[in-house]
Amino acid sequence: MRTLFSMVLCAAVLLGCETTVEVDVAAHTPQLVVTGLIEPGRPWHVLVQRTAGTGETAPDLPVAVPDATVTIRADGGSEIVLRHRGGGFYHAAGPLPEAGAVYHLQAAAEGFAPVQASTRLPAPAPVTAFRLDATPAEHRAEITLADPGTTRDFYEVFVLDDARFYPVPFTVVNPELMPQLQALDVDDLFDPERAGRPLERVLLHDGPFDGTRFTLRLAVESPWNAATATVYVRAVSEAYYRYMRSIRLQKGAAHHPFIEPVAARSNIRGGQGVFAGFTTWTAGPASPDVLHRQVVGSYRLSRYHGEIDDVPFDYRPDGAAGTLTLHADGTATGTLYLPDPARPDTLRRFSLDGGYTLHDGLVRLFHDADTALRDMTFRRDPQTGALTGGLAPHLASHVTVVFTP
Amino acid sequence: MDLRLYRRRIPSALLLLIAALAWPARAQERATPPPAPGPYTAGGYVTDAETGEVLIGAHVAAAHRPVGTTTNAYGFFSLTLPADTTTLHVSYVGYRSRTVVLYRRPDAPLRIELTPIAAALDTLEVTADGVPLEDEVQMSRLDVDIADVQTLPVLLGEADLLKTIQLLPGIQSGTEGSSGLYVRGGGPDQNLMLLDGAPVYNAAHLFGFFSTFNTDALSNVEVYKGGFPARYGGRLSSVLDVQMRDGNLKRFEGRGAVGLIASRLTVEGPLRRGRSSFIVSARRTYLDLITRPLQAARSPGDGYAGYYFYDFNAKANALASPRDRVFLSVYAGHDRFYLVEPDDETDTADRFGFGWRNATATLRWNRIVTPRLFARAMLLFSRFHYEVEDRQETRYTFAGQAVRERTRARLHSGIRDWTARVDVDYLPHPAHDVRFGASVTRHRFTPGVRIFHEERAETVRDSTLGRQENEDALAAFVYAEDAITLSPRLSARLGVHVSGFGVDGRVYAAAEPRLAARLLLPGRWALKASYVATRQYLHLLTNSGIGLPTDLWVPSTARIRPEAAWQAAAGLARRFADGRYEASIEGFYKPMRGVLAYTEGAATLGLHRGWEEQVMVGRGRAYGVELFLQKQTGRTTGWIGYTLSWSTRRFPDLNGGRPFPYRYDRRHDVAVVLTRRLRINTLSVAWVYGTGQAITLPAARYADAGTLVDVYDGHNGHRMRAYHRLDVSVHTPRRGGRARVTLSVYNLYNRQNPLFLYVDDHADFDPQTGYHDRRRSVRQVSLFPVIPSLSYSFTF
Repeated sequence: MRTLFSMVLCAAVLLGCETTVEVDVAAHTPQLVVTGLIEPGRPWHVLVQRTAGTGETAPDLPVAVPDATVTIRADGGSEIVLRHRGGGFYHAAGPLPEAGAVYHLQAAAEGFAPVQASTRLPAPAPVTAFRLDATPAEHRAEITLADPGTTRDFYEVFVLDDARFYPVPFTVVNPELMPQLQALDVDDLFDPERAGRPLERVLLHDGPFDGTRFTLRLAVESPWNAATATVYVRAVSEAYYRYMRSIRLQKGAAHHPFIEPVAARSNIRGGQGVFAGFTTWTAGPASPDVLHRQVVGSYRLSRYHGEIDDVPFDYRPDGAAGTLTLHADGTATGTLYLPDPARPDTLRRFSLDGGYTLHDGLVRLFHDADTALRDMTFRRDPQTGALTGGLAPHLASHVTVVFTP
Repeated sequence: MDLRLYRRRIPSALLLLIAALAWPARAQERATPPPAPGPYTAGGYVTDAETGEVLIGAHVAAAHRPVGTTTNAYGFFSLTLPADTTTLHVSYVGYRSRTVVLYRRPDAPLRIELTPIAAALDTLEVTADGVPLEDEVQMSRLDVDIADVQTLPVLLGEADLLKTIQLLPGIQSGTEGSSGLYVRGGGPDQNLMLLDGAPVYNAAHLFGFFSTFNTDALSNVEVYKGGFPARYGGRLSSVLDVQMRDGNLKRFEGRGAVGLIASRLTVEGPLRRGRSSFIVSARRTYLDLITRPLQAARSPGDGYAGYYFYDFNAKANALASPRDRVFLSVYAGHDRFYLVEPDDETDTADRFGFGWRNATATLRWNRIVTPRLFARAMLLFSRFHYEVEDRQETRYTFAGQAVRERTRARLHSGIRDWTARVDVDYLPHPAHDVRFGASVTRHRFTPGVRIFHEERAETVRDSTLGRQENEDALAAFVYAEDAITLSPRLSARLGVHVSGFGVDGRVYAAAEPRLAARLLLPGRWALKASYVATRQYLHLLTNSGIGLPTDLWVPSTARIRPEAAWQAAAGLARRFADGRYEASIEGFYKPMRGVLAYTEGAATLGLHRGWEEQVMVGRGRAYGVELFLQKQTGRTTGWIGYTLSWSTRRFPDLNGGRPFPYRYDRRHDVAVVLTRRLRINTLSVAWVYGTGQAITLPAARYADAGTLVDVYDGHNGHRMRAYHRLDVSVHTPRRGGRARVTLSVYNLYNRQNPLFLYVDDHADFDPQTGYHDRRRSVRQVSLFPVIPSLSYSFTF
């Protein structure tokens, strides 16, 4: 009996025998992180931030590097100097990017190793035909690409429904594209619904159809509204494809014990991030040019509310106010007044002077002021023209901000 | 080549070879002339006088002549003797040496019995009288004494073969407590583990903390790290050749042990005294039985989890004639983890479980065709299978009717082999020891099938996702080698292993040279060198490194070519102090190509889709130096092993195409093992040290469009803390030596060795920005603190 008791005791000890301690990691030398996505005819905008080492406390925001020297030069062209507009956002409206041209970026800041990168802005996506078959049960879109045979080409496809504010999930029907599409998606063993579920955007390389006329077939069971949805087909640079693919895989693999960690595929020599470009073909009412014209203008703050740790708040009755002007050259100006938690009945003023980007129907703001709007993305309501932004609920705070024209 | 032809011809060729073996045997029997003056050949078995079991590696030599040999893996020897030789000297470690007088030239196989020293003398010392290290051509081979395995300190009271092997130089362990082997920079799939000749595909129990080899059922273990003899093939890095015991031919006996988490029992004895015998051995853990009441007491109604494994070994053998012996051995093992979670509120029960099974079987026929020719024919079976299953059942009442809903998800995968094999040892001349043979194996792979079954209301839905047809492959090889004594100082072994693999209409073939030489230098130093080429047609997909059953065996395909390597090794060896000490130093260099790794982001649990899309092919390189000092005799025995090594991998799409450290690249690896036989007790101590494991950890991060991007400082660019621990055990005899109590202490000084590291995020909400201030830290999880254990073993 005594022996049995000893065994039980030892087994009980074993049940909780693992221990966890914090260990030191090697000091990290911060690097410059450059994010420059360029598009023909759009102003130059580059975000320059720095890496935050493991062990360092930093916000879930870009740690802006405001004093960098950022230049871009086209092959055979003159140098374009980008100016800091706030929040690490560097901007220039000079000679605009052109499809097919090669551009070289250099960035340097005190205390960091200089970085450089090059990219070729792809020629327009070679869409030769587009067809949409709509039934009450399903929409099928066919996009025919005349893929060049001399180069390795990369594409990105997605559908945005301006009326619904959300991307439209769809399925790629072409079986020859399945391997590369599946490789983009982290699998789940016991979720049968996930196998072959619709995707919100796909990245493709032309391996299965290089140099041919290829028809990409999309299907969506819950049909999109043909009147408000726009199909985007982008020809993207290889750097864009690799970077976006790796980021997506890394996000899916994060903290998963059975998935190999994924390194972000940066083309920034000496640093991190991506300098890449794309040209966009669209079918639908909201082409990038139309969207760009639509978002330019002046807005005033109409809502600022949400929840923090499950406690709701609303700043508008407390006097929150603001104006925001988005200029055609990619700059932004404005002012935001918010209640000061340290001094009741007092409003704090924040400058919204900086810049913005418009990608995939999303407006993203950059400025120096430490506000929730910094790095926030806004969607434009096609009916009212209002810009609605918010922080995701998974951040423990859920903030909704609305600017009305 | 047409695969169908290939499949037809190889078995036919094998049958022809068997027939050819039998024919010259009969021919030679008929044609053997009457004994005539001149050299003659004596052959036979060396056996244990108490049990009748054969002794492997016993030294047989002409008395006072420089002519000798050792018994092979089946206890057989063949020795060509000078005409005037009338006495043989036979010796074996742990046995009393014996001189055998040949009154006449033997016309039948000899059967020489040696008496164990423990039975012959009440001695505290172990003596050695085997083959001098410097006389062997073979290098990079280590013999593991089962007695050592049962004497060294253990984890949780369970003696473990693979954990003892991990203490040898050039062989490294994986993570804390794991029984995985990493040999000379190779991967866990590059080890050929044979149990009575049948491959064991997953040698892990309890997530790798224990191995499948029950030491009570084993007789002999050889480990080859390089210089592979031509008879072995199919793996790049090592061979672990384990033989089960044959069973006592003379009397019934049994042995058993009761440990902290498992007990085992072995029974053996003659079926027909002196002619046939059997051995049956079984082991089962009972951790689940012990902990279930504890779980129930701690959280009543919350369900329970459990884990158990069992294994079963059995073997029978019969002497059909003085020249023929037949063996049948089987092994079966099963691991199972289960978790049952009932929910009384919703009347739901969730049952999750996974498990894996290994099974092997060997039917072998040994025949002494002539004293110069020993042949074996084997039929082998091996199977590894795992499954993961999740079942949910919900009961409720709807509209006055009882409703039951059930869902079941199941993933299973496995590999199954059938092999026919023939081996021949032939001594045509005293200076030549020729071996040749052939083998053909039919593999069946089940790469991964997911099955879903759902019953809701009156709807039943069955679906099978990602079903891939069973993949069949045919593997075959022929080999030949000759160990040549060129002079008393120079000997060599020349061999070739020619292998082929047919799968999916494609055939791969390769000739793998196996060369080794030994030169005796002045001062009894032996200079040894070897060169071997190896080819591996099976791949193990794994990234856990902790022996999870989800590790997946897959064949080479048209796209994924076989792995290939060559290894060159050179070293010095000699004995000192009248053979009490052995010392060796070996250097090795091993480049590998065709090694596999998961692509970044690949999920090991999601391999229902084509696995070929989720792996990448690269190269590897390993090199290093190993030092080994061993004392085999006296009251104190043991060894010191040290390995200085480098192991890297290189993949085009990983780490920017630059080489990076292999996960188990271990710059320094040290093991000190000592056993001291005291007057009553036996004390064993083992201390190990290893450079920290290389892992991939994020060194920094940045924010990009609402997500945090991790920045890595290279693949496997971070090192865990160094691993070291001290284990001690004391064995106390009881019941006049028929029982033994063993107290073991694992990790005596309570070193917190890393099992794995993870990044921990501490997020503090900033009400001003609406975002979080995030601090990241790296945390280390350690598994085993100091763990005492007690076990009781007995014989009857």
